[in-house]
Amino acid sequence: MQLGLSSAAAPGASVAELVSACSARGLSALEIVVGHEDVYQLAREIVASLDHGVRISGLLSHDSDDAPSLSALARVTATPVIVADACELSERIERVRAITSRGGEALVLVRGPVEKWLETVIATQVRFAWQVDATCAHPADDATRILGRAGIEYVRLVGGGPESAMQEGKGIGALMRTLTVACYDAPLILTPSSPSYRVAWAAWLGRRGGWGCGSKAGNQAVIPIHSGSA
Amino acid sequence: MNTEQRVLDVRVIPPREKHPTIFDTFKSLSAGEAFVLVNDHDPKPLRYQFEYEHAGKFGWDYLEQGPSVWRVQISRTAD
Repeated sequence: MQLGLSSAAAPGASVAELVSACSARGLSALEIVVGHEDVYQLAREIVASLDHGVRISGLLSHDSDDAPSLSALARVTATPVIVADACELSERIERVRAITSRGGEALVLVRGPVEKWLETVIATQVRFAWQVDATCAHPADDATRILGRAGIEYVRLVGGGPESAMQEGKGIGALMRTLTVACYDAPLILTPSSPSYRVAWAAWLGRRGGWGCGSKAGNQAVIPIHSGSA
Repeated sequence: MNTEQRVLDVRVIPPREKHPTIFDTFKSLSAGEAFVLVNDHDPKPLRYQFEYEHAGKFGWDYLEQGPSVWRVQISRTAD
């Protein structure tokens, strides 16, 4: 199990700052939330961070219609894109295929009741990242069901970190036991449940003063990328 | 002994559920098996609880001792 952090926890931070924060917290993985500007700069930042003991585990994209750029980013950084677009599962799967057909790794983000997505991802043979959040009533039972049909290679846990005390009674302990007994050895990424907890996350990560300069205060948990330059 | 692939990172578990989860995981082991506990502080109180409840049936080996992360290999030495 590789406990990690999503950059959504600190949207003003650079990749280097996030890697440093992960190291200080003893976290071994980092997920980067990507947008639509400066893909080359982001790729450079990621590549420059690779030898610092923290694995860049995924590139979460909420708007993955630029398959050529995302595929290139995935290839250059040897990191899978996670397609988290707010569209139907079938469309997300097509976007995953558009990226993988260009040589980049990609996973489709799935969440909610297992019966609504598990058979589809198995039938279509796409790799998936499983998000555990408020739509998941019994995460340990769901994990058992998933493991009975497919491997789990990426988990996003909404909450955790400074929010873990508020997760009591939501089955997180049972989920962790299930994953441990199953010898789960892939990323488990912590991400805030709401932007309103960012101050708590910044403090948890050792940055009580926040991240970046004041001009980044309006960022929406996105490190932008752009395919048009260079 | 299979220890490398069973890792229980309790840093994400709500405080009151940590020890029950750890003991549930321990109970799921067969004799000779182990898991690695990951925590953000030295789990000494847990060790005392193990000594009280499972005396002579567990192994406790520090793999890493801070400053940010503690890793302890907890093994089941007898049923």
